[in-house]
Amino acid sequence: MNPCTRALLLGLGLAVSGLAEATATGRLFVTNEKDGTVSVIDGTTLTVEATVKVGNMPRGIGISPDGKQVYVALGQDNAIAVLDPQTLTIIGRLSPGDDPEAFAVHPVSGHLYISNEEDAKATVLDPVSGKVVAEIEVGLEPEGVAISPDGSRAIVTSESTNMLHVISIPEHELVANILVGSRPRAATFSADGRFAFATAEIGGEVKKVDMSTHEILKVTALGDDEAKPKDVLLSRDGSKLYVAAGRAAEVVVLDPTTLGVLHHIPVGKRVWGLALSRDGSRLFTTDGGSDTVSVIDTAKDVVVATIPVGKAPWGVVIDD
Amino acid sequence: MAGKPQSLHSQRRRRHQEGSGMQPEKSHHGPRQSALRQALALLCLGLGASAAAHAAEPMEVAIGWVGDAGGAGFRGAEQGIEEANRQGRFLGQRYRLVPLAEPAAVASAGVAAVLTNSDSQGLPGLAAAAGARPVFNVGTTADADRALCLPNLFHLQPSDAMRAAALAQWQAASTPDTPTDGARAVAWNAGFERYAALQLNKRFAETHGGARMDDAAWAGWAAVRLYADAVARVGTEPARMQSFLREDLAFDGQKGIEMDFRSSGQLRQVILIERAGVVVGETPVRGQDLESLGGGDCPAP
Repeated sequence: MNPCTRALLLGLGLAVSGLAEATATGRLFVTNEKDGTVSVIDGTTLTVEATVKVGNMPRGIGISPDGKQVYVALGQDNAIAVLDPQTLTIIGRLSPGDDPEAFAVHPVSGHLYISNEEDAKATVLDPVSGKVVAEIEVGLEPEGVAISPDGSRAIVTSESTNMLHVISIPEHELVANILVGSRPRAATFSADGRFAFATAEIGGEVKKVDMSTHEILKVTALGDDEAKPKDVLLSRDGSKLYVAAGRAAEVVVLDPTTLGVLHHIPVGKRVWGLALSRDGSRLFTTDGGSDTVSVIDTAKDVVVATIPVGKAPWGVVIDD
Repeated sequence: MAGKPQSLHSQRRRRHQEGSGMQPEKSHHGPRQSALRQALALLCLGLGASAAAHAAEPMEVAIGWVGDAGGAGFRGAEQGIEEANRQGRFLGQRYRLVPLAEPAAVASAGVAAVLTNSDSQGLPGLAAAAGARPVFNVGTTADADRALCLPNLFHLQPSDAMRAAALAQWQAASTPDTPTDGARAVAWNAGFERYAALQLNKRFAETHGGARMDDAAWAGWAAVRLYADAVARVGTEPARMQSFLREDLAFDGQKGIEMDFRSSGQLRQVILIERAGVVVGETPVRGQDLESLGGGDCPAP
C-alpha cells in the first residue's frame, strides 16, 4: 500500500473504531433471486427463521463493517435495499446506478463498490449519505467486485472485455488492467493483500495474480466441462482456496500456492455464492439449482447440513 | 457421435496469452519504504492522480472491410469496433474499420486484417491479396469455402453442414411432443438472452437504432472482437497472429462455450435452433461437445 493510502485509511479506521459495533445476531442472510426475498437463517439451529420480501431480482448481498446494516442489490429495481439484521425490517433504499448486481463493502469506510453491468462502470456509494462518491469506467459487463483486507485496492472484473481492473482506494484510479481468459467472474484477496485469485466462468479457470506486479502467477483449469466457477474465497488460515463450481454441483478446494486441486465437496446444483464464518469453521454455499444452502464443516470439508431456502439462492452473508 | 472419447477441442493447448496486454501497466506503488514517507502522506494526496497508469500513445489498428458496407455484417463489425475500443482504451490499442474499394487495396491500405462479406468467388483472390493478414469471412455459409483450406482465411458463420448437423442433433434430442416444423439452425438470435447474449443484443440495438442482431451481424461483431482480443495478447504481426488464432484462441462470443477455429478455418461454435423467430434450443445438446457439430478439417500442411 502506498503511504498516502495508508495514512488515509488509518484515519478512517480510527474514526470507525470509535463507534460501537452492533451485537452480532449470528444470522445468515441469503438472497433468493427468483422470489424477491431474503431468507434469514439462525446460525445456531441452521433453520430459516424468517423470509423477508426485499424487491425484484435480489442478487449481491453484503453487511456494513459495524454489522448494523445488510445491503441487498436489486437488479431489476436499480436499487439497493437496506435491511436491519436485528429487526429484519427494510430501513432504507439506496440508488446505486443502473442494474446493480454484485458489490463489495469497504472494510473501513463502509462504502459500497458496485458493478453496473450495463453501464460499463463501477459506482462507489456512501450508504450513510446515499451519495455517489465516485464512478469508475471499466470494461464491458463488469461483474465481480473484491476489496483487499487493508482497504487499499478494489478489483472489478469485466466479463466481456476479459479484464481484472485494479482500482486504488481512496483515489479511485485504475492502477492496472489485467487481461485474462474468457469472462472473469469473481475475485478475492489473500489476507495480506499480496495475491488475488479470480475465477473465469466460461474458461472454467482460476488464476492467481501478484498484486504488486499485477502479473498472473498461475492458472488452473478445473477440468470439468460443467464447472463454471463463480464465487471464490480463502480459508481463514489461508491454506485452502474454495471455488464454487456452478453446474458441477461442487465446491472445488485448491491449494492456494500451487492451485492444485486438493479435493471436491459435493453440494447442491448450480452453486454460486460462498461465505465463511468469522472463525472460519463453517463455509456456506448458495445452491441456485437446488434452492438450498449447504453448510460445510471446514475442518473436514464435508457438508454437515442442507437448508432449504427460497427460489434460486444467489448470495449469502453472515452477521457474526 | 456419442461415445467419442475426447474432443479435439479438449485436446488443444490451453495456453492463453495473459497479463497486462501489449503495453503492460506496472504498479506504481513500491513496498512501503520508510516512516518518513508515511509522515509525508498528506503531502502526496495530490499525487494520487498522477500515480494512475496512463497508457502511452495507443497502437492504431486498421481493419479493412471488403464487400457491401450497407448490410448487417458491416453494422456488426462497427459494433465490434466500438467494443474493441472499450478494451483497447485500457490496454493501449485503437481500432477502426476501413471500407476498401476492392480486394487489391488490402496490401496498400495499411490494414492489419480484413473482414469480408464477398461471395464465394471473391474469397480466394482476397485471401491471396491479403498476404499473411487474416481474412475473416463473415458472409458465406457454403461448405465449399471451408474446403479452400487457405491458412489466413477464417469463417465466422456456421457452415451449411454445421447447421444441418445442429438441426439433426436437436431434433434427435427433442421429446416427441416438441414441435419441430419450420425449425432452423442459426448462429444468433436477437431475442437470445443467456450467457450475456441479452447484453450484446441490447448494445447492438442501442447503437443501431433498434436493429436486431442476426447471423451476419453477429459474425461481423465476433470477427472484430476475437481479432482485437488477440491483438491485445500477441500484437498484429501476421505470422504470430495466425498461430494464435489457429492454436490458442478461446473466444466466448456471448454464447457460453469457448470457441476456436478448426483446421478449415471454420469457427467451432454454439448453434441456436429457432422456430418462428424464437430460440427453442441450443446445440451442442447436453452431453455433446462442439466437435459434434462438424465444420470440416484440412490435411496437415
